[in-house]
Amino acid sequence: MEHALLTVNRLKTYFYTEDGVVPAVDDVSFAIKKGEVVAIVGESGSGKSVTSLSVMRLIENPGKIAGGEILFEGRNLVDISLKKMRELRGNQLAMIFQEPLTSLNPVFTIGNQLAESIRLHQKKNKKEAIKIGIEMLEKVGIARANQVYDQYPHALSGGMQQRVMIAMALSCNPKLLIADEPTTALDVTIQAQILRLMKDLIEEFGTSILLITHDLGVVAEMADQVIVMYGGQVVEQADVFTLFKEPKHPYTKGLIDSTPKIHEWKEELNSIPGTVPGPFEFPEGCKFADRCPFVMDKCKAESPPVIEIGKGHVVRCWLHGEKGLKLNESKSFT
Amino acid sequence: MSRSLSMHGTAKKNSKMKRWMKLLFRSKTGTVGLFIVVSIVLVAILAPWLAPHEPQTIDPVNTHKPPMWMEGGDRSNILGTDNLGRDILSRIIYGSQVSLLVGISSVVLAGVIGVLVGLFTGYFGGFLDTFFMRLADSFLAIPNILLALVMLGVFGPGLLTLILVLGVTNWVQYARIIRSEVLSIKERDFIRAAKSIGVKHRHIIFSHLYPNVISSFIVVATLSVASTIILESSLSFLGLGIQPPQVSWGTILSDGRDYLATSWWLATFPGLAITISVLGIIFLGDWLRDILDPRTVK
Amino acid sequence: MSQNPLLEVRGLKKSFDVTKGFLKKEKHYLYAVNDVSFTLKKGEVLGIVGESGCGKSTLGNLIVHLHEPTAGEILFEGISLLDLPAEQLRRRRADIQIIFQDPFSSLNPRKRVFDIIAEPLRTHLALSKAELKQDVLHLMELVGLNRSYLYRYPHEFSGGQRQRVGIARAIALRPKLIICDEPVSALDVSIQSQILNLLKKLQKELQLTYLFIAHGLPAVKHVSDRIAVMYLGKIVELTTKEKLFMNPMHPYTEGLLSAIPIPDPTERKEQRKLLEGDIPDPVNPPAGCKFHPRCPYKTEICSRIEPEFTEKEVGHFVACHHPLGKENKE
Repeated sequence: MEHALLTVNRLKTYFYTEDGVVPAVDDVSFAIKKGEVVAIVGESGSGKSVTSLSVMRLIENPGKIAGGEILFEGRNLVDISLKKMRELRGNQLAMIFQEPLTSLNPVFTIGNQLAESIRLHQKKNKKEAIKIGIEMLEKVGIARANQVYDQYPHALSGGMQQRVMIAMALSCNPKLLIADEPTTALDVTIQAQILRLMKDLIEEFGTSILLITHDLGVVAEMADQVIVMYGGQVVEQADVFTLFKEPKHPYTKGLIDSTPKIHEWKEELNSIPGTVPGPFEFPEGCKFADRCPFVMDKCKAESPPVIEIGKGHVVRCWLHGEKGLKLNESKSFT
Repeated sequence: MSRSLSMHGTAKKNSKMKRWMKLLFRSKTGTVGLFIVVSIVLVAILAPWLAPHEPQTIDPVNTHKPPMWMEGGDRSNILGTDNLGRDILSRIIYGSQVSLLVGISSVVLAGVIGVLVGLFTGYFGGFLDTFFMRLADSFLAIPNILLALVMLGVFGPGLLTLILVLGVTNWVQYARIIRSEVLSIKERDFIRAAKSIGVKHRHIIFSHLYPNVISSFIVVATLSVASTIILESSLSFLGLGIQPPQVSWGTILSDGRDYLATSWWLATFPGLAITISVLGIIFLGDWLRDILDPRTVK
Repeated sequence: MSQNPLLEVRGLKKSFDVTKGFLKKEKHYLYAVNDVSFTLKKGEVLGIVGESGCGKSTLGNLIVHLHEPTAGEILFEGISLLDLPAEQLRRRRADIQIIFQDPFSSLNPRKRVFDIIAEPLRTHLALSKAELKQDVLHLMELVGLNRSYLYRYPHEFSGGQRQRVGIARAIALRPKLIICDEPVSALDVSIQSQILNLLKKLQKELQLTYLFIAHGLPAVKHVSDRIAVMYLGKIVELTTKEKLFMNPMHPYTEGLLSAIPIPDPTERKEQRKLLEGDIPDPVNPPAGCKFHPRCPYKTEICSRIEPEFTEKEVGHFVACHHPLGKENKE
């Protein structure tokens, strides 16, 4: 078995609110190999962002990692000190967010912020940091990098800001880049550019990416492995080709069907009935039961286990019976 | 137009009361606030029956008598007497009438002016806005106390003028807060939706904007009841506020200031009365803000 | 098909003042909508597509009369709305309604569903309380909301349900024209298609006319009959949706189409041509054709002369010196 860069094992992140405990991430396991792009897909409230924030240990009160382990190169990130974690963040692990403008400090120039992160993590002197910074801006496809280096964030367009964020994230040559909806706030022509840029950079740097998104188009474009989340749980996981060709979970199927396709002409679009429930409104048993067209009595009564139905293809659904390896019991899978 | 349908009227009223009660008792501070405010109002109303002495009766023999639990004090003057031998407790009980009246009604008056100005200037903008905001600036440029002094000097002192003067001088802070709230809320889509439906401006202002800005008003207003009670005492101290034989917490407080070193109880007890009632009003205001927001209860 | 168009927009312009500089104030103008003309027939759905800053939302707001245009005409049933006295305009508003993008900002948080949906009815009709309730319940049924939600507050709903409330409010007065301003872009994927299906169903059942604004082609494709593509305040291409998808003539339309990520990993677009560059600052638009800095087919003329918006084929309007397709065919 190839050694994984990041292994998340039965991760549980709960939010202890006044109204009760919300299991935002409930028993989630997956692994990312070197140079691999793993996408987590889901809608609002699926727990996809909380999963990524848990890996970065950026969960804030009242949230807490309640169980499981996050193994990064053999070290369990759940246990290490915050000081160690800070050293890892930005160095080995980097993150980019949906809104680039809110992640950039408006009162410092681009270069200022870029150089600071390079000096902090790579222990370079000022001159070297500036040089590396400008090189990075050029690498992410910013023309006139010299000028942009001295500009303030608000003077750049959304696409340029996101390029800067990527430059910053990659400036320290991280092993894992977590991208939380990196193109959702961007226009479609700019999104295409950023996606292509990210792909080129994976090839050049060999960075692994954990991509969080709601857009199956982006997933199909970018991912090697796909994890579909619903209600804090992994409902299906497979390599990207298998997942799109043979989705096994009704929710995955519903998501794929309801994503608009450019060359399909239909009277009525496919959709998933109902709405995504609020944090306390999920049904007992299978969380998708009340929206599922194939619902059975068993689904309402008992939560289905995660079973493996093909090589690396796991699904959490009663439709596929209890056969296969019950992954709930197994220690990990990679 | 009534917000409820007649057929659901009574049921809805009941559920509303229930909701309020539920919220009141869920919030401890709300309960305490309500208790304090109700007690003070009752004290003010029942002053003639509650007070052990007449508040103005001078007793030259028993001046500066300390509270009953101290050496030299006795049960006939529970909180002691002042420099003229007047019973402090009775003065505080009677003083609650004027203090509450001035504190609350001038804040309400200032609030009504300020909220109206804020709503209209924020919503319409333009000349109206420029005019009132420059007016507000000029009010701010002059210290409140000075303005009040001049106005009281012109109109002559008295309870009613005091309320009017305090009300008129304090509208600016409310107008500015409400205006800035309106400026942000009017850009929200539900206001644009109302406009595109053809809802009249007046209705947009009172039915859409007002319920969304009122909670900020309540927060500021409850806080400024306190400063108004103090302002009243300063004006009374300067002889332009409450005229003897009327008595307010402010006047007792300022009367007692000179004797702080020798007879601390003169100023301490009215001060305590102000503090407690202000706390009560703030607690109650917090609770009011909560019940006005549908999001706080499921 | 029919007589007069329901809506006719002629040479519509809207500029905003942008003041730059701290000490030396320079006044600049941002042309959000710059010389836009089109017509809309009764019962038709016209999609308006463009990226941020193209002026599509401003166009919607101009037609609902939430903004005053700088120049141009908006004729609704042959009457210029701009010339109507205030009170008549207010009454006319019943005919043109709008559905907003953000269902969290478009509903007053202090009002119940009943009051939100009833507001247009109360404003324009004198109904008894019983009639009002009946109408509201009927509207809720039309948009697929449970009757029991009548006295709930917006915060108790999910985005999709809120959007249904917004739709019920918009159709309450049976308007002749509805502006749908990105009605699904803030919703979850699985909910988007529900709302699109609902809008299409309502359009058919109530014979509504839509101006359907969206930032991406996939969203407008389903409901629209014709689609207009906007770039920097101008319509660059306008035709039926079939022609637009099969045979785009403007290079920008082609770029928009090829940029859409396809939910099928076997069709990854490594080889596909993507548009280069950024959308220019609308305050300082480029000279000539506004698209030329990003255009893969640009020639010398494009940077000098702005192309006319003309009918290159029957029912296919394009503003381009070198429209695609034709050259390929010839």
